[in-house]
Amino acid sequence: MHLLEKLFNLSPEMFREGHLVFTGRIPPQILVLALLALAAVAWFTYRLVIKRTETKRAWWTVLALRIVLIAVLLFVLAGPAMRLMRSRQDVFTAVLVDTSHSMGVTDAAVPGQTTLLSRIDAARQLLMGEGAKNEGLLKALNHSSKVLVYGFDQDVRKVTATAQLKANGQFTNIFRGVRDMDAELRGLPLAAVVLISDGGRNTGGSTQDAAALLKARGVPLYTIGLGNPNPPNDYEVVSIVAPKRVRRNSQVEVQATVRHTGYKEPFDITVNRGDSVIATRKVEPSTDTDLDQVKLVFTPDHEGSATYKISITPAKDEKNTENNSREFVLEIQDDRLPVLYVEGSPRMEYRFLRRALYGDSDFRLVGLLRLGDNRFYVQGANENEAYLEKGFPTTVEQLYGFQAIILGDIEASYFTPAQLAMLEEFARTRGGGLLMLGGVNSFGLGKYTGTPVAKMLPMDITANDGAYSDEQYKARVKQGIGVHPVMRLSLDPEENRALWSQAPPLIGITPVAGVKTGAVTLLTSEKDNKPVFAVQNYGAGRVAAFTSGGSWYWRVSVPSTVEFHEKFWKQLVRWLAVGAKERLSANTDADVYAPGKPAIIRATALAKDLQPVNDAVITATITDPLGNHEDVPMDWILSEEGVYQAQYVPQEEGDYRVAVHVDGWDGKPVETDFRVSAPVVESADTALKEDVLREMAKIANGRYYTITDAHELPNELEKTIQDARFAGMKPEDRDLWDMPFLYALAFGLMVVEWGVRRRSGLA
Amino acid sequence: MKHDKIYRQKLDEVMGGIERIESLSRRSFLTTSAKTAAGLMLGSFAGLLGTSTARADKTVETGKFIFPRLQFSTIDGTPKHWDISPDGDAILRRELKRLTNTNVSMEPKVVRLGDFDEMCRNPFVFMTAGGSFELPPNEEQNLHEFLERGGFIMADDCMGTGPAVNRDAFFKCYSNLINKLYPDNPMRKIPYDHEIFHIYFDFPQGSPELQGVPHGTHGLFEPGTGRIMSWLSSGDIHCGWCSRWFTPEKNMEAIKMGINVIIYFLSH
Repeated sequence: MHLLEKLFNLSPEMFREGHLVFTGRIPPQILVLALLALAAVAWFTYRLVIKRTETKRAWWTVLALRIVLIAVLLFVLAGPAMRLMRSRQDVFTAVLVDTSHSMGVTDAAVPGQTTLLSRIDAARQLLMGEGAKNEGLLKALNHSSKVLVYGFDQDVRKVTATAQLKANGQFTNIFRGVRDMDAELRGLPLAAVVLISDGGRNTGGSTQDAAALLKARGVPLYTIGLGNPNPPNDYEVVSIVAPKRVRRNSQVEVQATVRHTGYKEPFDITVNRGDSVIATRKVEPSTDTDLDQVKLVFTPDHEGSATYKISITPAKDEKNTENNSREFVLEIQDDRLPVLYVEGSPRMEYRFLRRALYGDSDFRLVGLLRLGDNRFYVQGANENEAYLEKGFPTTVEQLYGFQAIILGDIEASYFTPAQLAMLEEFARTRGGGLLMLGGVNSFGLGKYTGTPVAKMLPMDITANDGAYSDEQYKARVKQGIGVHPVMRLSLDPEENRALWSQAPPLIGITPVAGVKTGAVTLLTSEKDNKPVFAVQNYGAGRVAAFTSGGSWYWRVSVPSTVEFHEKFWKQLVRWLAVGAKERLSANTDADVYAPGKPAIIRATALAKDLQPVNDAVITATITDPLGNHEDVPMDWILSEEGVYQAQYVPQEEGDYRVAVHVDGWDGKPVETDFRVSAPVVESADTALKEDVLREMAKIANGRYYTITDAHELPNELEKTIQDARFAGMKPEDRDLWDMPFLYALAFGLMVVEWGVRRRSGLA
Repeated sequence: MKHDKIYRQKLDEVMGGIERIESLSRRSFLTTSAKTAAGLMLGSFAGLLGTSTARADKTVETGKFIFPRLQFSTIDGTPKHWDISPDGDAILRRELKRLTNTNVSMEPKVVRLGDFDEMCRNPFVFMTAGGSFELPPNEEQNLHEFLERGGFIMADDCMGTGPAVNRDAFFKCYSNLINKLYPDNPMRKIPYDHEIFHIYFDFPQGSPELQGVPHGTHGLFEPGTGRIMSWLSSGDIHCGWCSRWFTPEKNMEAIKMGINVIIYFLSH
């Protein structure tokens, strides 16, 4: 072989793989014509020789030798070369296997198997060919390419053995799987990508983008779907919307979105805290959709934080029950909100309202009762509120120490213009609540018309609205019963309606001009439809107006065991008081995190006048479920005044507490909680998404396979892999004109010709 | 008899004077009050008006406070002078209006313990009598429920005109009644530092004991809140309101104590 390569400059394989081309400047056609011409010249020349000899055979031999020699020379002039098509030695095929939690669902029907396998087991069998009559995908693909196997869920990792493929990922991020695999193999000849998955995606970029990534690289994508596209009957709590924190004794409203695939019968949904059932509701599923919104209302009876679970009672035939519940964390705020009640003079309404609110653990009622000019009787104040003995707060700091203000029967002229303006800002900016009660010195009668307070009220008032009336009348519910939190005396809507219809009468009413557009009228007089109770949001705060000065009659006219009066006022004051801004507040961007997912902690710091503070030193102390503490400094977010942020990555599952405090500030830290637990997203909607996988294959010029026809994939891939070998490769021309053989041939031809001439007498 | 006639004439003058007050201006009211008082009190009451230190300030009228007398039955049906000296009530109303910014209805009012609906419309009642009493079961029940719903009974033992042995009969009957209705929470003495004695006027030694057996002032306290639900005086301060039995100073003390009780009721 070595001698042949020396004679011909190329190996026999090259001659087999390549093909002859002519690279000379003279076109081959001209050379052929030249050959013919020179052959004709040679024949003509040698024809003269034939007349001088009798050996025609020798003549023809010499002529042939000469023509061959000419051909060899012309061949050399033509610039012969062997054009070789280079191909890649190593071409790769990437196999991406979904290892998310949903691949653990046992619904894969593998050919040749009598029982269903889990999707991940089916994937392993597909790859290894276990128990099947084929050699498995890996072996089949290995014939023509190098196969690299990756497992992906929320991350991507290369695997060296199929035993490493387990369905324990918390999320499915197909885009990341494709992108990271592509990045790792960038620069290598990737012939094709095979994606084995159930098509579910619950985090990360879109599957279309993933396929487009491969298309841009010119790599076809072949998808194999595992699982059952027709989902089994299943209940699922898809999502819940719940407040993060509430006041004690407040009603909590949780909105749950539930899916009832294949089930038409009513089902029970419960709220649990630990082993206790807090609330239960029977749900009639919609007939035209498998999604329903369910509202659950309950009143927490604990302090601090607690984890609640919303659950659907599993059906007897339900296979996947992991997605039947979701958790959320609820914080109960137990510090008492200070509420200031200002009354113009001693009257029955003051006594009974104080009595109704007295002792409520959610707020601290501070009474400021005017007993004469510059004479006030202060009740329920703490040592910081000693200024109240001189009257109503005169500074923003003093006023902002309260969460809500109740104005009883007190005229506008008692307040200075600055105090009236402060009241307006108290609601609009601070988010405080304001309530005006009926009386002969309230509303228009109290000359509030044209004042900042009038702007806030949900009722229109003028100076000529009429005199206060001592009439007795029943109040009728205008709207919002069972909906507005203030009007909710019972969690049961029917019972609530009945309670309001049986409400005792009121005594006394202050006439007003009407209710403002945008305000919500909740009670009117049954007698003449005059507005009795209306509410509205005002800026960041809430304002309510109650035109009767005789709700005390609600208390004395019903048995002592009926707490209609107390419940109404407590709910109203609670509703007013909860919106006020705190100087320091903190929360996290979610209630529940997966282990390893970062929790973003945010805090807002305000000065005593509730202006943002941007230079505070704020620290979040995080206590993990094991009791370990970690101090995390919080940095000011430059784009948001007074807002600070920190990040913490929890690892352990369980409940975490965050205590945020500001250096140099009095008062206890503000606390919030979050929980870390394995998410249930992978248990949601686990049906095989064939459409997703088909679309991906189509975008990336591949094809979709089911588990039944996946054995055809290696054959389909063979041509693809072959094309990949030569794709982008440039041909190589190896010159042949300098082959020693040619020169040896030419010399040999001349020697033979000379020998024939001499023998035949032609020389 | 003669005494009664003079008494009734004076009562008419007082009542009639009070009726005319409704239509008078404030200045006229004060003037008329002074004249009427001078006519009744032989001059000393007029002085009292001039020396009172706690004057009502200029205030606008607010929701009216009604001061009704409680009429009650007895088992044996005999009257027990539940309506003794109503002029005292009228004077207290007047002084309450004059000395505080409470808007008071000057209308005399009687509320029957047997008419529970009417009682509910009047959460504050004044109860007195000149001797012992025993209520029929329905009135006992009404009284109990009235207190439970937030009602308040101001009770005062009127010594009356009977023998000395009855001089605290009402006090004993009332406290026994309350203790019967609230066996687990009997009436007890109100300490001198309780705010009812200091809320508007100061009474360092508690309620004045004008006459009768000085048991001290007792209260029915609401469990959990400590609020006084019923106030019982053994000192016959009601007679002090009448302004004809005692010195002007004692009379004014009695009026002031009555004002304290009312202000306490309206603020607790």
